[in-house]
Amino acid sequence: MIETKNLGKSYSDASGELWAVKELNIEIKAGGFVSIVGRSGSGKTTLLKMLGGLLKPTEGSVMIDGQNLYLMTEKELAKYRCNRIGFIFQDYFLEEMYTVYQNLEIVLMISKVPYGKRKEMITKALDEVGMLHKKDSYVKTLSGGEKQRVCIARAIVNNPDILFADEPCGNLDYENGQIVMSMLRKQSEEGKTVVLITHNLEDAKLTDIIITLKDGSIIKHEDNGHV
Amino acid sequence: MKTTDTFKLVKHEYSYGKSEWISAVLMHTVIIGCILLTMTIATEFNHACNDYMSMIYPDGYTFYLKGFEPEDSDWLEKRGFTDISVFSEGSGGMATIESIEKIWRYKFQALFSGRDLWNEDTDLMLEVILFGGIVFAAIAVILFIVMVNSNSNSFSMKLDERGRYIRMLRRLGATKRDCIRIFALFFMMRGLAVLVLSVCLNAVIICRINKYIADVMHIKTAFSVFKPTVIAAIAVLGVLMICLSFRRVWGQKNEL
Repeated sequence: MIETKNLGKSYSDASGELWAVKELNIEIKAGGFVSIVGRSGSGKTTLLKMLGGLLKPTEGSVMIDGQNLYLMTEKELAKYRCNRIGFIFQDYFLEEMYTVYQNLEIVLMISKVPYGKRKEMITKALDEVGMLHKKDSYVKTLSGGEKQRVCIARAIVNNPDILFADEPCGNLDYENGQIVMSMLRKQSEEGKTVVLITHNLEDAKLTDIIITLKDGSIIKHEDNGHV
Repeated sequence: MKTTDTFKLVKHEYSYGKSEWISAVLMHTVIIGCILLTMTIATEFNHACNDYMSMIYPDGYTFYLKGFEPEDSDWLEKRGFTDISVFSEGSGGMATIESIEKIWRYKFQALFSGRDLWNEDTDLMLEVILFGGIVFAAIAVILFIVMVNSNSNSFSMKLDERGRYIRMLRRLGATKRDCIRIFALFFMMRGLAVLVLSVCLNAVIICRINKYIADVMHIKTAFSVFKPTVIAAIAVLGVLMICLSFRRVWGQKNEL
């Protein structure tokens, strides 16, 4: 379970202190498919970064299964990101000069998976997103939709419990967006906790719970009744 | 991350931005090659001067002694002086030596203990030796400073260029240490290649200089083509420089 307690993040600039996220209390149950929606600047990505252990909050805490993320050492936090979280980014964050296979292998290198097991794990992940036939293609030759599918494969290759998706359909057309959403739904059905950041309400409606943010605070929390 | 995997990622870095790192290697090869050359000349300049002077003084050099006592004869003999005649009660004396290669050292040692040895004919040459050594050493130091700055720029550019990749690695769970290892190893291997190439470049230039000295100046002297102490010093300083510059540059890029 992911839980935040009075979570807040502020940035200082010449005009003073700006709170991107403030006093946020949310609870995401294991296996849930949750979307966080809001306009640009509402604090969605800041929240996701804090949940993923990428950005230290100014105040409050992020608890994952009862463990405070930001009381962990740098090494423990890296291990948490590596083994328990899969990230899916709007702009893919793939290494263009690598092949699809090599991009997935990086995750397994970081998690120190023995060389002998890697091929099987990568094949399984690519098969799941329908990209096995492109495993030797360079990422730079893929279309946006294909890149996002590779990004999903990379996120699930070492079988993490939680998936964080930051506007995964933001750069995709409707058809590819639907493919990505169905893949995320499938991951949720298989027991993974999926947290989706989006500004597209159509995508959000496909999730179980929608949390709406405005100016860093929750203004609406609705259950879609998919569960 | 396992060492084999780190090497795999380092290998990939070499396929990325080939023209950039090849030009950096060539530029650093020229700079290190020049540092090796100037350091070799600085440390062997006295040797070349002695070989030149030995054509004028084939029987050795006679030095006047000041402040020496008869019991200092052993000190002089140990340093290769012959035909020693020290007058009584420190009133002076004379001694001959075959080579003036180490004469600055002896002169300093003598001056330190309140004595002196000099020769009007060779003193000018001794000043040339000292001046030449200082000039070449200064050039080496300047080139080294250029090298340090150039390296820092190189690190900075590489980390800027690969910032997105490093952030990706961090998001996927790589520790700071993993990322540092990949890029530090990349620069170390590049540094090793630069060192090997610059030793070769230095050898070629020294051979040409030796040939010129022998054929045109007719001096029987030869600078060392391969000077292990200088190369080792450059290698140690290079590793230190890479570590310190890399640490400083990495520290400046907080977002990594």
